[in-house]
Amino acid sequence: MNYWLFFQTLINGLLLGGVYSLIGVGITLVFGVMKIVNFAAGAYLVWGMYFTWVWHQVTGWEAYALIPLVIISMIIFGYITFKLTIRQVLGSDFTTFILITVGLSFFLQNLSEVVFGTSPLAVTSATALYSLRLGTFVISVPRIIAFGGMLIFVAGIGILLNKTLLGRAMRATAENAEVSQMLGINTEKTFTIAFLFGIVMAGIAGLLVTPLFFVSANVAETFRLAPLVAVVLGGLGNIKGALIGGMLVGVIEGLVSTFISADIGVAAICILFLIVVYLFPLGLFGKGARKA
Amino acid sequence: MTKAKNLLQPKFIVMLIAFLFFLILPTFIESNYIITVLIKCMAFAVFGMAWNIIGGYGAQVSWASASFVAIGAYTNFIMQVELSISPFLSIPVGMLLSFLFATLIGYGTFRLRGAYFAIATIAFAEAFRGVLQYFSGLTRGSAGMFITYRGNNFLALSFSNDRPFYFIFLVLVIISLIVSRLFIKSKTGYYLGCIKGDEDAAETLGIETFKVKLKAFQISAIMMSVAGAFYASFLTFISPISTASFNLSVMIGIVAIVGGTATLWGPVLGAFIIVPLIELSGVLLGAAGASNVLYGLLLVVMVMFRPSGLITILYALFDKIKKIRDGNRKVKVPISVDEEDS
Repeated sequence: MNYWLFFQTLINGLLLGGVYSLIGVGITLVFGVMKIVNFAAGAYLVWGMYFTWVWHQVTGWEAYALIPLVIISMIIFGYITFKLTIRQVLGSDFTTFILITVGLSFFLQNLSEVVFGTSPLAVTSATALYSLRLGTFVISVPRIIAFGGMLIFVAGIGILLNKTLLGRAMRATAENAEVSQMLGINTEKTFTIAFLFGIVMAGIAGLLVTPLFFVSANVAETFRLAPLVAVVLGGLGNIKGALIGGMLVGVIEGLVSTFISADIGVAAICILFLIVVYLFPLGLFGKGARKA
Repeated sequence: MTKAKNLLQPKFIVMLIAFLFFLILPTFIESNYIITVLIKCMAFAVFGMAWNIIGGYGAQVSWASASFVAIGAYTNFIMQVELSISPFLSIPVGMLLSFLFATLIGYGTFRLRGAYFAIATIAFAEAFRGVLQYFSGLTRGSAGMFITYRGNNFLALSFSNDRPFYFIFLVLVIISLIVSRLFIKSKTGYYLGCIKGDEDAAETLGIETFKVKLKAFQISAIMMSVAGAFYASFLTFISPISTASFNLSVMIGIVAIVGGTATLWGPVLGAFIIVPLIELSGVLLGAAGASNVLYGLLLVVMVMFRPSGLITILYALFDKIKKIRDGNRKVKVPISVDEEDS
């Protein structure tokens, strides 16, 4: 086996897996608090990419400088879509939410195609061209930034959940929504905030991958499955699990794609998913929920 | 009620008239285009009914419908192109394959509840599309497969025009209706209804929920692959993107949901609404993009405002007519004491 190629693929897979982790942490946070699996995260990621492109056209700044603007855009965009759809059916069974988030994903992904056209757009970036040399290995700078950005955001979420009053309210709601409401927590507000966190994280993931991918509605397909698998691998509702799960998925997908065929990469993830669900239904780290 | 009396019910007379209507309908239609649209309607009705078995009666949402359609379609085409085997002999192979893959997906996930199954179906669908591309020696990869015209031959499902497929799919719709009906009235069907209502309670009553869900999914997958094989012969061209796509799976779900899940006729109604809509929006809005926005919106709106589907509007209408008809012999119901019990 070619060791150089192996480790190079490992590094690339790990770094792309970081993006899966970021989306996955968003999904798992939403699940933890609301018991909803958000199938539309990939579509929100695409909108994050398009917002980055729009703000880049307006200001001409580097993509990374646009993070605050994209966060604000995603909050507004996410709030409107949440208020109009999921908010209306809170309290329904999980099937309703699967259908509604898949419908939303279908709607939003194609809406971006209608609004911005089918031809791929590019956010020009100076950093996209740089790469780091580590011995014989080459690591592109945008991938490192994406990974680092992910770590910062996930750490931020961790601090928010553990150190602030809002985080405590969210954890209480995750534990038991009814009792939390009796104790004076505005659970509906908590739900809204949790869902917006999920959307913002998907949007930021979109921003972070603009130097790596063309801005196009089809990117949603690349990021539809992997984060969901990452979340289940880590155990639904388990944030650390989603973090590690994302990297694991990235590495396995990368290795199989490189050493066997790019077509089979997804099949490997699928098999991994089925095995993990069968052997470790609570996720690899054993803290997830059995009922999704 | 005896069997003979049963057959004289207005419901059955209506069904018989509907069947005769659809049987003679093609003789009045000149346009080949309208015939193809009707065939697509019936094909989607069958797909919708197959989805309904697990997605409607079982409330286990599957997004792998297109993969099972593709399994039927590809076994049909590969065996016909490589070995010149009649579709009627390759269909059982497709049924077996879809049974095995359904078992693979369901085996781990049906032990759990919630979104695991839905995620597994998405994973399988994406993986299967990749596999179709990987084995490009057999499947011709993303270029897709053609079937050529081999003269009028029923056993090869090759015809000089599309009309024979109209009758083939009419038969398939009827068979699917019968299978669905038998399924709901079977023990497994009732068990599945229990599980949908309250899985905990069903388990307490001793129902092996895992086996029941798995069985329903296997039946659904087999139906899907049979219909997929015939549909492929009708289309004469299949490719991973057109046949095994996420879009097709979502469309099949939409057909059942718009019509009405967990009802016998819902998917049929849904197909006859959605397929003409697809054709219309394809002309007015273009095939992708804007049309798909419409379907996504339709799915969200239906789930939010009428999750029981449009067929329940018809049912409500029938009830009203019945009430008006029965209005003449209205009996004054005495006010019962324990009213809140009713």
